[in-house]
Amino acid sequence: MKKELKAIIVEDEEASRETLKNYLAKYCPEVQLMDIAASVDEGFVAIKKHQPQIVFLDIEMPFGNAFDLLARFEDIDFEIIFVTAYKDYAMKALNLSAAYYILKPIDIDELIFAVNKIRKHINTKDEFLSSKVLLQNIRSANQADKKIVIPQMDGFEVIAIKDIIKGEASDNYTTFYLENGSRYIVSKTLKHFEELLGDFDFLRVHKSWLINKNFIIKYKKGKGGEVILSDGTTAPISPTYKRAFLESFKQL
Amino acid sequence: MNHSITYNTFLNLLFALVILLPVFSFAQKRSSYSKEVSDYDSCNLKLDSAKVIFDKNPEKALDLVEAAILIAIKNSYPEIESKAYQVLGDFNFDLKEYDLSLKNYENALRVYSTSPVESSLFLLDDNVRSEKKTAKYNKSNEKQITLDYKNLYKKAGLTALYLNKPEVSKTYFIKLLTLSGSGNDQANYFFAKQSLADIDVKIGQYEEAETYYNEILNHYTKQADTNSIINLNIKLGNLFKAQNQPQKAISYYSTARDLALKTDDDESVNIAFDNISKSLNQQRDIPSQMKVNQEAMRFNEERGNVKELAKNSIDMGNLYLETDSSSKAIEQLERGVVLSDESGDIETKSKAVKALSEAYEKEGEEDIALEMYKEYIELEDSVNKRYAEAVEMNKQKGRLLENTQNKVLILEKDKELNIKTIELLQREKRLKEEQVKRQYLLIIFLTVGLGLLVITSLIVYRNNRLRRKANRLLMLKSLRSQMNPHFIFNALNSVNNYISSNNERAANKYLADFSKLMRNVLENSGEDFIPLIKEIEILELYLKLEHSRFKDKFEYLLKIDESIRLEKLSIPPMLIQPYIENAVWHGLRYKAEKGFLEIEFKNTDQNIEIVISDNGIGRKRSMELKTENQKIIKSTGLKNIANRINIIREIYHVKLDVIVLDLIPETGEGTVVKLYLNKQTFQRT
Repeated sequence: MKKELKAIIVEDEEASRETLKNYLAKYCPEVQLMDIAASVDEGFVAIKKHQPQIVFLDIEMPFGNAFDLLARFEDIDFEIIFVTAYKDYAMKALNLSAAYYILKPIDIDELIFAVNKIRKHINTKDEFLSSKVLLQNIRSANQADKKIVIPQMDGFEVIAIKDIIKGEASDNYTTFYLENGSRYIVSKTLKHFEELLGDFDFLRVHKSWLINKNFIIKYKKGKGGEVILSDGTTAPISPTYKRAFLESFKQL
Repeated sequence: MNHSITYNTFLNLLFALVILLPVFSFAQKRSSYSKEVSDYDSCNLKLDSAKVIFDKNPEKALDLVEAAILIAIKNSYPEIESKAYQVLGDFNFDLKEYDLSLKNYENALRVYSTSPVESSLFLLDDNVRSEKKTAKYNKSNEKQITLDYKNLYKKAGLTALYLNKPEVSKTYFIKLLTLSGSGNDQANYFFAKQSLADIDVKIGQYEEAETYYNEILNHYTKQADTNSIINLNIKLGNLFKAQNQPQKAISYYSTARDLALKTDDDESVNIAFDNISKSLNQQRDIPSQMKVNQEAMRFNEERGNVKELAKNSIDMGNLYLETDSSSKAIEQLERGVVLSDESGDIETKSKAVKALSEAYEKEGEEDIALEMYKEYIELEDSVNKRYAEAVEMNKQKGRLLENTQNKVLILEKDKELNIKTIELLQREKRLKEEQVKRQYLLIIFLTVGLGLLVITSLIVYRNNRLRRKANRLLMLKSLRSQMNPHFIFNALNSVNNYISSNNERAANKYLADFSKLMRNVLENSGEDFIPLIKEIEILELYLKLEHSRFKDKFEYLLKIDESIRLEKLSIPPMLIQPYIENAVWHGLRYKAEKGFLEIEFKNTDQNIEIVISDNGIGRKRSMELKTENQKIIKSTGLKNIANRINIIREIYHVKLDVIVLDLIPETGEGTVVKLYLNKQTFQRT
């Protein structure tokens, strides 16, 4: 197979570098490993020099982490596969931009899957999209300006979080209703989005409803009550969530 | 639980006190019993004596009655009190003070009825009575009481009759009749009947009276009680005399007289003669009357009844006067004077002299008539004088009696007052008892409340302490076995590395060492203390694995003072590991050249001193190197260990101190951590 994907590894630990290198050589023949960097500084230089399509990037390193590295770029024109030993604070940011990550110790199948996914984005509208959104989100000081990448049948869709009125659950799918009237169905649970959007004024009010507080026009009292949103739709509030719902308004 | 035991004892004591109190007071009451009996008897004796000596020494008698009443009232002996009234009633009766007499009898009856047993015996109906009869009041007692009642009814009835209160009298006799009729007391039964008949005569109910009399007569005829038969015949005679049927009356009187003659009952014979004479007088049949009178005279002459003979003579004289046979009258009257002189009957003589005076006047012997009249006046005077003397004597007695009566009245009032006072005292006593009871209750409630409060607060305090301890233990548990997950994943990553480079032996070795470490950690994760030797074993493995990852970053040395008795001391597991991890990750890893890590266990007098020193970049520089993005990550390892040490110190009371220093204070390079474990407190148990 033709070595069509130029890649760089940024990883501080020698053992991890070695492991990734060995597995890429063995299981991802389409990847052409251009360079291996041991730190953020080395990584920045290597990327500038080799212009890779993929960067395998360890999140936590001495002398600066993955986000420190990304922040150095004006614009990003490479795909990133994050490599990390543990799920932590960085995960939300990654998930928001639908970035790929693999966990250490590396699962070879996961590695192959991530590489394949990314290869499909090359030369499409989704090329580097995830990385770009991630960078934008890192840069925007204002929460309201952040965006979310949602995978659709035909690729990624980038949505401004502030445009989402509500999300509705149906089985393992979530339907988002936007201010402009459009709607998106995503094959991820509402719970997943509740975690991601919890920092963005989104409230779970019902088993099936996640609403953007900023679109609430009216609250009707009742057993649980219900809210009327700016698009004229209503969302019920189940008794289980009522307290948390009312609490969140007290803080305003 | 000790508290509750003493508390229970206290309660029981209180309870016992409350129960015993009334028992004590009861015992006190008992002791006066024998005294009561002697008092009772002495009262009875006093009253009996009073009855005997009243005639001769009324003053003394009344004193006795008074004394008896006083004691009776004081001790609440209604029987004695009643008896005393009865005695007073008798005295008054004797003095013909019927009014007072009746009052006393009524009092006697009233007081008698307040005696609980007596009242139940005689004022209630038969059924109840038989039920109420108790062993305490035996048959003889009952008889005595019945007798007392009958006597009182009889006396009250008679007195009322004397007072001309037939209706009142009737009620008493009816009571007597009822009481006697229910027993076998025929004497009293018929006496009551006869008395009722007498009353009927008095109030003009002759038919009833006749029926009664005949009934009684029948009974006595059967009994062959001649005296009573005579008496009844006289009464029947009286009945018809009262109805103005002299013929019938005379027939009964005659029967009475004949029977009396047979039985030598002179008195009744004379009564009969007298009444026959009076009945004939009703018919104005003077000749028959004279004839009867002569018969009586003959009878009395025969029997030597001078007194009666005198009366007969006078009657005869008077009859002659009526038939204008003055001389015959004088003859009879003179005889009457002589006879009455003989018998000392001044009253009769007086009558005779008066009649003589009339007779002489009719004969025209006015001088003698005057003489006689003068004598009559004198006689009348002496009669009156005698009478007055008797009256005076009675009056004297009466005054004494009145005095006593007044005193009794005062006593009576005193008694009422006493009863009220006693009631008041009893009420006060009850109130006091209730108050004491309330106080007891209050004390009990307060004690119980206080006890509960103490117990509750103890429980709450204990619970809080336990909960706190439990929380602490839980926290300790959550803190103690936290091997940094980074370490675990990184270690596994290392294995992955050997695999990726096909280094089977190395992978195997690493995995084996890692497993050994994990096993040790897991085995000891449940303990708060493990032998020091075990902890050192873990440290050796950990150092080996960590070193193999960062071969290029540091060398290490583990130094243990041989004088330390590793197996005799204990230590919280994973206490030292976090400091080593910290030294590697934040100190040595950043160092450009190869660093050095030394762990030393020193033995001093009091402590085991553990020194972890590295020549890494130092704490200050390490902080500086962190980018904004990296500072978001919180270092939890050291915070956890600090918490753990605090809790261990608190729960197990061990002496454990930690100090952190720079290795080279001037440059801030390197870090030294010193742990001081007091040997005494970390001794293995």
